[in-house]
Amino acid sequence: MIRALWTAASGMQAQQLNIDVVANNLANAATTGFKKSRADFQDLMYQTEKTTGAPATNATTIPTGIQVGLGVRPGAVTKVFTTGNIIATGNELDLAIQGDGFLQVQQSDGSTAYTRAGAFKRDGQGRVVTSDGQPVIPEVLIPSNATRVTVGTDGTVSVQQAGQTAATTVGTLQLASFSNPAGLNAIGKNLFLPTDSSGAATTGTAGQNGLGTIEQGFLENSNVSIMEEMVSMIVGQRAYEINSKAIQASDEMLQQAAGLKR
Amino acid sequence: MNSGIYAALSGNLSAQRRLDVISNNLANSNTSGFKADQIQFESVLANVKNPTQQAPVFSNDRYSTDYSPGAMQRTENALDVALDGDGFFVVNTPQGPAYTRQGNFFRSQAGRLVNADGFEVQGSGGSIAIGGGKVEIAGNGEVVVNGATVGTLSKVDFPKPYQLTKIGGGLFVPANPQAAPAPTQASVKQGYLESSNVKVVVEMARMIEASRYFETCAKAVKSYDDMTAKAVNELGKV
Repeated sequence: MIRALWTAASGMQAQQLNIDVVANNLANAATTGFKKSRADFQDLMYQTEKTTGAPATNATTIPTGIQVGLGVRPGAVTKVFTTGNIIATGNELDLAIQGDGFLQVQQSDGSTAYTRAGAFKRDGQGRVVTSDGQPVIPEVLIPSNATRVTVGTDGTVSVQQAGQTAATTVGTLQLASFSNPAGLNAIGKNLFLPTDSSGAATTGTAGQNGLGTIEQGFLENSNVSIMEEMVSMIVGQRAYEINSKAIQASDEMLQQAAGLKR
Repeated sequence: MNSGIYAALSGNLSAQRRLDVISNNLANSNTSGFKADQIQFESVLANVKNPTQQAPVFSNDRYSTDYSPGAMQRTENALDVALDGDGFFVVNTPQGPAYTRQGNFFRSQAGRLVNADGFEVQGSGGSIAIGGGKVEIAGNGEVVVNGATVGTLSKVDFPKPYQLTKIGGGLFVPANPQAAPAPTQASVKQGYLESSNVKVVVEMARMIEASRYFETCAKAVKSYDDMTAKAVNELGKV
């Protein structure tokens, strides 16, 4: 009886995590470059009360034993790196990656973080930076007299300066890729850090060696499908509810057992 | 004392155990690769109906695991695989090989294919080193990284009816350690996971059944108690 109570409680806890993950996906349904997460679960240990195949008599064995499972636990929360919708913004420093790869930005502590949110801006010194002011790596400086910035699909950044007819190349953006992006550590603000599971970053020129191309004037939207998340939410909520019913049933049975004694 | 009270009590205990199993199924209704367990009610009733048999109800419990496939759920993660057909993937635990249908695999620090607990997934030639590249897994289990084959996922099956023991973490081991698995033709689907095969509606009905059965047996226990009380208190009066 107590077993069923705790088993069902573990189910409620697991579904709570499921809903947490779904809620975060929905909250970021319109976040540029956001990648949705998915919670995976695993069954807990089993109490074996009767072993399968154990001898029942000299000549026979027990065909099926009795195993009572003790519930569920979260196994992993995995990021899903499918491509989000690419939407046209017309902004010259909005960059989307068509295909695999991440843009690199420098964090305040000097380390490199990776992102697919290419909504860049120009800071006071003319550097190309994220909304939080983190410069893109390799650094790109845009002269103050630039009238137009052009980013090629291979990442070459060139500017048209006032009074000049020829374009000047001011830098080249590089893309990084990971063997297992699902293992990346999301640190918020659309940034990811490599982990042992993701492997180290391999950098290269956009459009080469399986890396995607850079599209200027576009942004990659979140890859959250609201329909899918709504379905996950319904499934999670109902699973939560049904586990609570199992707790209720155990409670009622305990109550009846307690009621036997007058 | 009337031995009927113990028969009713064994019904209570049986209902309890059935609720334990149902709870576990419900808790895992969202666990990929999970296979539902059941203790059948029919056997309990059959036993109650047979008045000549005094054996406790437990001995006739029919416990079984439902190995029917769960629904395929698309996840689009390159390291998620599902088996379409009978069989299991093989992972190497510290206690030896274990078998699973939960195919949400990961890349370990050493660049090998592992399951959520970090146990290495076995291929035809041992563990599979996926290193750092784009992983493609073909229907026959062949793992291709950057165009080069690095291994083939082992898929095995056991003679039916399965005699497997669950050890948690989505893993099964054969009840008889000597049982030899045979290769299976089941095809591997990359980017999919097999959902749990728990049928929530059925479990819900079983839960109601178990609760009511428990209630009935508790009432029977109470009736026996009332009878005994009468015998003790009223028959003694002059």
